[in-house]
Amino acid sequence: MSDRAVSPNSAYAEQSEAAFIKRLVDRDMQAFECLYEDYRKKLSYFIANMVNKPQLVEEVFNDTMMVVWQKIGDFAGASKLSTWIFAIAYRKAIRARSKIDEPISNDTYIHSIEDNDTEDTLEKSRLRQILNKAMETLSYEHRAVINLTYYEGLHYRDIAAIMECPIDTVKTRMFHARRQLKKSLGGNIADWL
Amino acid sequence: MTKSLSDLCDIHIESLIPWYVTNQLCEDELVKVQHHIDDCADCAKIVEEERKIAIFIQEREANKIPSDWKIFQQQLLNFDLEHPNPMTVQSDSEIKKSPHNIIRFPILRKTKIFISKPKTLGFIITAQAAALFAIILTPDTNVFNNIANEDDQIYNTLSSDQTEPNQNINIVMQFDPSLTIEELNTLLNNNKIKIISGPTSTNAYRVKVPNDITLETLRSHENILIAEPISAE
Repeated sequence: MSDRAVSPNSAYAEQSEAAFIKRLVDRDMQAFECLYEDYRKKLSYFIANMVNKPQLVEEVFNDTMMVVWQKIGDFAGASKLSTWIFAIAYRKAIRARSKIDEPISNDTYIHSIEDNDTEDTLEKSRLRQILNKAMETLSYEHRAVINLTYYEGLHYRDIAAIMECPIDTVKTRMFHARRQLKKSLGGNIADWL
Repeated sequence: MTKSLSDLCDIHIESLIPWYVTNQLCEDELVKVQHHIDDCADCAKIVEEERKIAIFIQEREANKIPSDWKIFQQQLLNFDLEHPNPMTVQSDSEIKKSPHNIIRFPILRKTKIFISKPKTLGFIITAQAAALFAIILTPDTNVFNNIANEDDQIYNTLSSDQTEPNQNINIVMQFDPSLTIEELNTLLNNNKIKIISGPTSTNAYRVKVPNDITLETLRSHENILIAEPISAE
């Protein structure tokens, strides 16, 4: 399981989160550049799953990081820094979605990492395509819960904080998302086992 | 059909499976789920399915966001120039949340924030007075000697050419913070740099320099950390 939200490869992993936040509050541009580059990777998948339009993804990301710069002094440490930043990105993405007139289609922004080894069979590729299609059938809230759980490796409490909803709502959304995914996958899920 | 107590228990356990699969459960919940799936073949199968789905989702990725740090950094500097103390600026959402807020215009909102904090206002007036005394009493050593003189200021009428021929005023600059005042003065004088405003909370200054000094020359200076033109809004 990967925990991308608290990746040990982060540029600022060597120091405590509190010390790093202090540098951000003190307007340390070098520290903010580290944060910016780190979250450019971390947020790309999350935002893309919400808005899935290259221009909007970039806009939501920059808006998010601008709010982080503006509001870091207000960050009281009640949650992890990553939770706070994801919550900002989530709100920005919802706002961006509301401005779009046409339905958001899943173009080529999201894709699966293809293995080059011989074990990456055609069958596996086919199953990936089926899963990608199944993900498209989910509402953005269900997709967000799935991604924050499986892709970002976050606890349901952190997800509730990001989506500003009760913990039970997160579990309910996850329940419905899983049911919808399995329905879309049909008998294919049995093939994987 | 009503569910038995054991069924309800299963629903609770099953709802935790996604976080069991991703190792996010606390010790207490982990033991409960582990204990349950040891005895329940159905839930054990669900765990295997969830593991597989988790792996497939983790293999998905998005294109990396195309973004330019230099451009974004300039936006941050611009924000700090426009908001010297960003902590006092309320966001729109915060303003909407306040039931007592009846002021509709942003400028009045900010004024209200200011005057509603008499201690802050008193501190600011005292600090400004102290700074003024410092400038008057130490004229030879103060970097504000390099602030553009009144005569140097550019005034444009509506009909005048907006581009001033000899001065490039819209540059944000950050200097090496370890510089002494004398060193900074020398640097400013040698490069004919005039401070227009600053410093911001990031120690950035808005400056003007003659057109014959290029951005590349400024950027190559070891004691100038940032020299970025401010794009017109």
